[in-house]
Amino acid sequence: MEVFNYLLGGFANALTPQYLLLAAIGVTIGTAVGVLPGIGPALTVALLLPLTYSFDPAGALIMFAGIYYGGMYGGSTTSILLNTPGESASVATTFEGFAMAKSGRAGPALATAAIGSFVAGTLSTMLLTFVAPLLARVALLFQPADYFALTVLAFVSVTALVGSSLIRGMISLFIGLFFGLIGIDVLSGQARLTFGVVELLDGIDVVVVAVGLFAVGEALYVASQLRHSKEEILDVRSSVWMNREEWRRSWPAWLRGALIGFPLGALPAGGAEIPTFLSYTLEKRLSKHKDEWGRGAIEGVAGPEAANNAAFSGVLVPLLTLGLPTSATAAILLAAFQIYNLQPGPLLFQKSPDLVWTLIASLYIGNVMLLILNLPLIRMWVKILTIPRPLLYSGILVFGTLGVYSMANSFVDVLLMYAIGVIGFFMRRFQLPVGPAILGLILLPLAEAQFRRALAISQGDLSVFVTRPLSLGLLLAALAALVLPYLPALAARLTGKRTSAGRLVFGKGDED
Amino acid sequence: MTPQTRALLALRLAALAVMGLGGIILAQTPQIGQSAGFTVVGPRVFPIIVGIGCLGWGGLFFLRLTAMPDHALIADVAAEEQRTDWPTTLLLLGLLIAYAAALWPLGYVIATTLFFPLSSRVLGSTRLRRDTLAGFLIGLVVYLVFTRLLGVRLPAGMLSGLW
Amino acid sequence: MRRFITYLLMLAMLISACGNQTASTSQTVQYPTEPINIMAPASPGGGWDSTARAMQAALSATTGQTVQVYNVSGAGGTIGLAQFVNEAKGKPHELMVGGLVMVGAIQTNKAPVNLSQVTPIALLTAEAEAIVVPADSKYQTMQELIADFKANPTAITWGGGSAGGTDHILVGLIAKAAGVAPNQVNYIAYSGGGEATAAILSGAVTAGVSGVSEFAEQVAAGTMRMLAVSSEERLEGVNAPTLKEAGVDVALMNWRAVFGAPNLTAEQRAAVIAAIEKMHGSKEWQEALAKNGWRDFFRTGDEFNTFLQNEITRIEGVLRDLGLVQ
Repeated sequence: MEVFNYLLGGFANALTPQYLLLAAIGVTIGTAVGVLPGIGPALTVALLLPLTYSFDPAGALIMFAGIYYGGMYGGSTTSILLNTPGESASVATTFEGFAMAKSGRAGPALATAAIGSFVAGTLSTMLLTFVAPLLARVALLFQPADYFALTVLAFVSVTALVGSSLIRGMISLFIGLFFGLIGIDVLSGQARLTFGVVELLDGIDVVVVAVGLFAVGEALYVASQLRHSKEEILDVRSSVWMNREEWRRSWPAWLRGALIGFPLGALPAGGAEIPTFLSYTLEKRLSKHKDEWGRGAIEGVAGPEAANNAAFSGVLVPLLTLGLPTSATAAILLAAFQIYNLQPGPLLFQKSPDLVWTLIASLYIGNVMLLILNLPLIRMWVKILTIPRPLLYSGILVFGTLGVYSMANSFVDVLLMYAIGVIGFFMRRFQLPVGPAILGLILLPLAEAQFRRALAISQGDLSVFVTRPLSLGLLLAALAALVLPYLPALAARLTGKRTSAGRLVFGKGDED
Repeated sequence: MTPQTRALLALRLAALAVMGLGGIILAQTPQIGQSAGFTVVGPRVFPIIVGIGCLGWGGLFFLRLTAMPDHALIADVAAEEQRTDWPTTLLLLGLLIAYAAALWPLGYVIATTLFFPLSSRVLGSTRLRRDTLAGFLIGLVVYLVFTRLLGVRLPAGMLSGLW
Repeated sequence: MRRFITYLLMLAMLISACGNQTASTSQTVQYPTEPINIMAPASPGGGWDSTARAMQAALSATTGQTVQVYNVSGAGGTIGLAQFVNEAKGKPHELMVGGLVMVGAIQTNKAPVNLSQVTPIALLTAEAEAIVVPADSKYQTMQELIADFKANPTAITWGGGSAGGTDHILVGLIAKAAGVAPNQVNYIAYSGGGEATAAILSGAVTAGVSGVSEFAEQVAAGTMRMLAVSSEERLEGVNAPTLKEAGVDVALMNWRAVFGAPNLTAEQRAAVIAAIEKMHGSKEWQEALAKNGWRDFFRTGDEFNTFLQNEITRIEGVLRDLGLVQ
């Protein structure tokens, strides 16, 4: 097969000592910068791009692949250890990841994230190698009505996040929807609910809300319970490695996460967040350990983390085959290509096959290097949790503030994050789950824009949502996902038995 | 007032706050401009849906608390209420706001050197000197890495001439 | 220990006080005397960001100073502008990139700040817009598209960038020239170039509007057909008529420029302009223009001021017609 020959040629190029060294440097710097708060993958790549200028195109792109993967991976570390997701695609990792860290299982959480990223990264690079052109054609079938149906499917995730009380879950969801409305409306260009604050015109970043609700809310909660809880040192279990049971539970989640993440990442308007929430929901539904959810279920880290990594690779599909930058990170990658007079797009594979295949080969290599680099680092990261609690939480506040500030150089964002922290504090006290709020914030802008676009294009004809096969199929899938899990419970309730639904409370101070 | 009635009151206030949020959204909606272009669903439709949703679910929560109170929830909230150390919580919040306010005039390094030990103190640490040193080091290292190596701007404040 | 820290802090303050003094006295004589900061009022990866980063490379080569770029994204640049107006006052080493989109955004967002509060330094680049259709569209020429647009306006959907941005403004101008009422213009705004291009390729919208370079690769690959460009004259290497040739009396260029801080003295302004002129002549800048496919549109001083005033008036008129400015 011709693809194999090309790929082998790519590996032959990429496996020279000089290029291997560049890949190693790229991965190391990418991880180091990606871990810093407020510096997500897009900014990491933008900041480090000038470093690559001094090399030949192949060398630069290889280093680049390393930075790209390293930057993507770095975000999960702070989500798990410090409860502060660095970008919206790692929010779903935070739910179970920080819960695991608090129960002394940070090591396995970081390990499943690292290995899951490797598995998903490699699997999705393989898919990129073999089905990219095909997938790109499928992705272009999606029109606004279909995207809207996809967001409806994603909204079903709320059932996995809602916790014990439907009313409180829905209140949380609507608080999130409210946050999602703030800012300039994409379609009409009109400002909504900004209350005259200029900084709100751009909307509220998911990271601001997530760090506020999770990190600041948690710190205030810890402060409020200080008098009555003893100084507990988080116990770091002697083994930082995953045990057999954790392996067994992780690998199916990795595979499912990768298979959800890659195609959705390849959709031009899919984004990396939807697959993480879908993966979280799927894993929770399939889990045989429902009681562990909310207190650190490893599948809840493995799935979303694999999904976001695969989604990032998926972004390369429209970029390389169609020349479409569908995320901020991809836009910078596009700029990087252009520096070397390469124009990604339908002609790239014909015009510069050597370079493309060297890049693809270096994606495989970068993944391996990332794993080799990060597994030993876990032992070091876990030590962070042995820091005394007052210092740990002060540190979380300092880093959360730093992250939110450096995202937009904005004090308004910082104050907003603190205000949202107060809301998070009260949500915790009144046992309102935090997850639905984040989901609502992420999904509302997508769902609303696509819904309105679909109707503008159909000139008001609502049937557009059911006459397109893709849209209809996704809506039926959403309906099935909504109803199916409740059938047994409903049947049980009708016969008078009550199922003991596990209560889901996020990051509650002293849950166990 | 028993802890239970206080908890119930707090929960009812929370329900009212959610309804109030819905009210604010609905009150703000007429101020959203309408685009003069061809429009099927305008920019006011979703705010109205969300506003009504907040009113509705907040109202349901209020009714639920009144008609058939969730005793487990009330007991939990009451227990938490009694354990709550309000002065510490408010102090930490005040410190945070002061930190944000101090970042620009004092600069990142000094503000962090001050905030870190004070916040650790509020959260129960007793070793002020160690914490101050730690805060200074965090502030300095972060500042140098971000501004020198990465070119990300952080406020230099009072130390602006120093580097 | 505590005493040591107090000592350190006092020392630091002392040094900082000295530092400030030297910095403020030497500004007007020479420029630049300290690191230059360029604000890109958009997220990384966009046109303003790449302009700022190209300036960074060229300026650090011509001045020998450190040049930093930072992003303040959002609302067509008005958030960045507001911050720039508040924080950069009188500081010649603070620069900001901006352009046509910002002119429109200030008006649609009723921003509390505007471009009269900053110091115009130089126009840098200008890019023509293009009207495209997917390859399998029935429209072969701009005339056919305009004919259908006149006959049944709302059935023609125009996909492009953010509402009130350059693409939307162009569609507004086309509608006006074609005699179509603003409330019949079915413009579908997308938040990014990639998203809009995908929407055009998927056939979701009838026609697409964006910068010429945005579509160049798709046109070359035969997945899109370019019906017209928005420049006054035909573009070299682009096989499409101008809108005027196609019978639509409209021309629009998406320009990008660099602005200085508010309240600069005349000497400071002249010094900054001189530095940017030097940058414009540099090998690095010319290479960046070529690599990015930007058209040189260099104008400084009063010429830029006049141009800016004309654009502000013209854009406000279009936005009013589109109902984006009440």
